[in-house]
Amino acid sequence: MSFVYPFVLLAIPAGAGLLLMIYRRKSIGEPARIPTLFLLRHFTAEGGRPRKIFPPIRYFFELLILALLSLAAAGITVESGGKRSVLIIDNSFQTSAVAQSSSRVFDAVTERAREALNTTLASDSVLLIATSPRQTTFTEGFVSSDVATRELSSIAPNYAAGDLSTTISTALNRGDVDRVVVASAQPIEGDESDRDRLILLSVGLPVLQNVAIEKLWNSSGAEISAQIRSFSSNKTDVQVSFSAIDKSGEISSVVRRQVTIDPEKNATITFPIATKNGVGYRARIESPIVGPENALSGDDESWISTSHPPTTIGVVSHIPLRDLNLNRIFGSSLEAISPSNIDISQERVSGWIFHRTAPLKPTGKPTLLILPPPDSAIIRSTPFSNPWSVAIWESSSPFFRYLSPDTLKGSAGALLETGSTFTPLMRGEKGTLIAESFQYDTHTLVLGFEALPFLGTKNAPLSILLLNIMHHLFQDVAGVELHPFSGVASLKGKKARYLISSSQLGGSDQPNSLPVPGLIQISNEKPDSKGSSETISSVNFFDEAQSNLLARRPLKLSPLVSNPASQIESIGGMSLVNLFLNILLILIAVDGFFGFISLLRSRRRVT
Amino acid sequence: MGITQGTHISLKRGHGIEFSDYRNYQPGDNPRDIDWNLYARSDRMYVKTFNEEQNLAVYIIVDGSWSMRLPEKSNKWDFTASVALGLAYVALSQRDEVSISVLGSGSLFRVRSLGSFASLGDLFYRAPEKELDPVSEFRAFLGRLRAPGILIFLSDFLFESSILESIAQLARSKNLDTSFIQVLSNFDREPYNFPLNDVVDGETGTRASLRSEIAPQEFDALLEQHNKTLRDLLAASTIRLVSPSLLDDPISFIGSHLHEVGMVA
Repeated sequence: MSFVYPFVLLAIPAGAGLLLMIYRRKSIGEPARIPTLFLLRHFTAEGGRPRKIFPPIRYFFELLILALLSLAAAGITVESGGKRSVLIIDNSFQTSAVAQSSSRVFDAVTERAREALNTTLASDSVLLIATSPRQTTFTEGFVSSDVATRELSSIAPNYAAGDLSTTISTALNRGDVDRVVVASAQPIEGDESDRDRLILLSVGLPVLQNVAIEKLWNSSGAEISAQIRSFSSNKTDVQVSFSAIDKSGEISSVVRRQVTIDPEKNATITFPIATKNGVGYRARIESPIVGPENALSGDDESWISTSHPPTTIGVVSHIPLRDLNLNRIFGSSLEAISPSNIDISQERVSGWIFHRTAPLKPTGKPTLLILPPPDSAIIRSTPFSNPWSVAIWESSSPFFRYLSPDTLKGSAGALLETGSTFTPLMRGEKGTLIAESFQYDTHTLVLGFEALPFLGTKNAPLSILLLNIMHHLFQDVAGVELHPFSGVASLKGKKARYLISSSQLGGSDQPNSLPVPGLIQISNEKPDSKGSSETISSVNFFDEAQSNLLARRPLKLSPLVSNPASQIESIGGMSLVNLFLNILLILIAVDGFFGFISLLRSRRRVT
Repeated sequence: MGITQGTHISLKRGHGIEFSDYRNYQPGDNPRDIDWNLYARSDRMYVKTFNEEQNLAVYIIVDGSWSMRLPEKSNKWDFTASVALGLAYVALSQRDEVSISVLGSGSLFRVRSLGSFASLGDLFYRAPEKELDPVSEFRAFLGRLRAPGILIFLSDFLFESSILESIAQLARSKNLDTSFIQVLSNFDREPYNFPLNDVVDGETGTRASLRSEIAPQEFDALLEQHNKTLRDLLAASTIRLVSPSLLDDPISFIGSHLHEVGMVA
């Protein structure tokens, strides 16, 4: 048995003392006011002798609750005995490279790890950590090698670099670890002093080559250029396909070009823009997509949006358009319309957003209602001001793509009345928070919570939801499904780089189901001179550090990392904690029973 | 004695309706009082005498100290107030003049008719803000009495014997027909039946820690000793002492003790 935060155990004696003091005070209580001490003076105690304390049974129950809480907070783990080992699995993007016969590097990495768990680590207590997109523990503290082997299957390569060096250093600097085992295809150089504690499981793969689309851009308004990069030691023939994407995400035409690239050089291919209906274009390395010459497939695609027939979304709100920040995500043009001057018959408006207001009748065009008034003619709602979280949602709805709705949270909102017209898409614990209707030729989506102003990556789940809405409700270019990894835009300046990265998202805002690309690159080719119409214009997955499989520079471990425990996030099973919680619930119920009895007894006080 | 005619039989013989006795005729007697039938039978002149019915002054004084009002959920104070008001009501019904005061309130209410009886209730709601000196309060009360009559003092009389002695002397000095009603709550009688650790004297504010257990026999003996002192002092001063054993029925207590406290002949 061990503890992640052993100092938390100090809470047990401290709490026991505190509880005892509380019970002493309770047992003495406030002095009783009596008629007179006249005859009772003969019975007063001598001096201030300390009174013996006889804590009730309830005290011991509460002490037990405190102890269990402290044990849980201290991160108690049950070990199988033997040495304490940390097994680090490198699951960075480049481990998804296919080495041979469609077997990934990652498969080789996990196979070596599995072998180690069955042999070297068989009798050890093992803590399983993956490196990408950040250090993440996959076991509940140190567990048996059997449990670690089972958990191994839940690790997958990520579309991010990760930080193997820091993860190893963190593990080595833990005071409670006997040895650190690293499974990676990457050569690693450990510190001499760690020789006895660091075991490197070399995968031993042959040198892998790769070809990637480094960049895709709109070169002249009529042409789009793709820059192809070779990380090969040989001349490589690369076939690139170029497709136009319409608003619905359909590929409308395909053009193929071939180019020969010198070793470790790049080449540029230019494609004419053939269709005016395209809102986006995709470039893809077609041949060979996967194989010895192109081991990584994730960086073989890139996407770009281009100019398209402008659509106008009417935004009806009491708040100025710039304060809603909607222009940060729209490819369409936005037109602010005063709530007191709504004309829903306007032809130039192809969709409506009503923010904290609502039309008197269906608009006939795609409409988003955000927190409509409670007595709206479109949908009635009941405001509330308590924190809410999501209980259930319609998983098949496109509005929830790339999103774990249960990461959506808020502090207030309105429960929507659904019925024959509106169907619920997402419900909180007390009622519907998102509803949808297709009646009266109008696709209407209603949000029972505040979604504006758009805050970009500051609220990732909500931003993903908004982008989905833009795409699926308004078919806006900003939400065009350029690639499964497209998601939230964070465009700052001309050369915005990352769509989402783990560092940008930070701790709790990270949506669980959204892959963390880290490799997605966005460039904004033609930002408005006023900086008011930034849009996503291209997406690709190129990251030289990950795509360049030729670079096999040994990884040097970084020095001491402070407070290592706090840097490792556990996502492992919580069975022991659940057990504690169950026991706690029972104890709290018993404690409540004692409290009730105590309350009844207190009625027979001095009367 | 009273000023207006009441229902109490006065020791003074005179013109009333209830026959009292005969006496020899003396010059100056009203000839109408001569019993001529008796003169015819005995040839002697006798004069009839009658008991003159007069009203009575009834003084009711209530110990209003905190010791009468605690513990908070006790009915000690309610019982005391009910008995005081009940006695006042009975007296007023007999057309007696009632003066009632709560020690510590500083006021003395004189009530001559049932019409103003309702105003007496307010007297019992004001608790004293400071510790009372029962002797000086009692002396001040007696100093405001103008006529002889019946004095009824309601208290727990849980005072030092010196205080009890002073009170008894003061009552005797006024030559009043005095009755003390000692009201003791269950707590006063048996404090050992209540959970007590640290206590505060309701009157003085003195804080004290009690022994873990109060020996019932020891306390009972102390209380009995105190009550014996009280009884002896009062007996020496020809003051009656009435002690209700239960505080749950003031009406029946009044009914059964009216005679004892001199309210009815």
